[in-house]
Amino acid sequence: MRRCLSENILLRLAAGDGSTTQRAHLEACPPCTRRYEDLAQHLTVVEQILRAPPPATRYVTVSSPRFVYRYTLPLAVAVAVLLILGWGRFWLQKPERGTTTRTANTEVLDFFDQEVVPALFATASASEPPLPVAVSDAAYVEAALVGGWPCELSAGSRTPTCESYPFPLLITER
Amino acid sequence: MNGAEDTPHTAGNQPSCEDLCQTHYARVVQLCRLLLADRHEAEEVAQEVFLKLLRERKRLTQIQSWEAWLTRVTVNACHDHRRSAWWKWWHGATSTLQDDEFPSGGLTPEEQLLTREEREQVWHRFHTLSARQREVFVLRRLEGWATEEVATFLGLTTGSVKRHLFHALRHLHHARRGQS
Repeated sequence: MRRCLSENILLRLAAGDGSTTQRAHLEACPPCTRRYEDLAQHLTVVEQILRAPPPATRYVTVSSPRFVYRYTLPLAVAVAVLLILGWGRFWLQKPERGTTTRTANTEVLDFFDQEVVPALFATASASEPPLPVAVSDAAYVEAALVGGWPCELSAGSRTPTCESYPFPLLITER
Repeated sequence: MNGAEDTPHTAGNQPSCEDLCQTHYARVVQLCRLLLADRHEAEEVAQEVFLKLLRERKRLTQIQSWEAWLTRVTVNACHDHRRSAWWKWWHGATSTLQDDEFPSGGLTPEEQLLTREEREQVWHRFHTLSARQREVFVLRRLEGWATEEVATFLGLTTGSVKRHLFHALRHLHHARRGQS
């Protein structure tokens, strides 16, 4: 290995990693040895700092991201819940709205079909069914003379309740 | 593993709880400060560690190294505390500390020469490491454990330990040099 070791490789060697070739180069190359010693000295100072009690403001610097983290999670959860609720409501309402419209349309159509249309065209079909025709007064006279109702005059439309229901007498089929 | 308590103890010459507390309390608190972000949590966990020592002291008669035992218990306690106290993470308030809350008697002249900003920067960078990287760095570099011991204790391979240590060293080295 001819080229000098990079800083990352020196750090790997300091961490106990690295290949035997790199270690051999480190021992053979004075500039790399010097750099490695500087690095080791830096790390020793870091270790000394960390063995000593922390400075006061460490907690102040840590508090800022903690503040952000503390409210980030609940906020993210709240936003997610709102989005899910909003989307769910929209998703649930969308087919309901269509069904309601369809139901309303069906009802309106049925209403028109069953009520409005027959009502509109009722006059046109008025001549179709047999219209009642007035019975002549002779039948009443005869009934008064003979007694009872002249049911035989309307035998075609006679019903079992003829005796107590005189109105069919007033109607004869044409 | 280095330390004053590495001499093996038999049942007859085991140190008392008080002795162990006096010898190791500051180190355990410092370990907790390194592994946990909050000073109050650190003290709480350190007290838990010594409570555990008090409870199990009579049962533990064959401990070879109390320093190593306390380190293991402390690392495990910090690990458990981090896992169980997730709610404190966003619920609890951070505290600002005064310098005179900590004793400065243990500082060497070289340490005292270090600027305050540099110490703040290193501590800040250290606490931006992942929990695993912090554990590996503390055990390997500050407690002086061998790579294999760290790997066995943390349930990692030696390669993972080296990788975690490399990332931690790079991060802290850049912090000292003021790089991002």
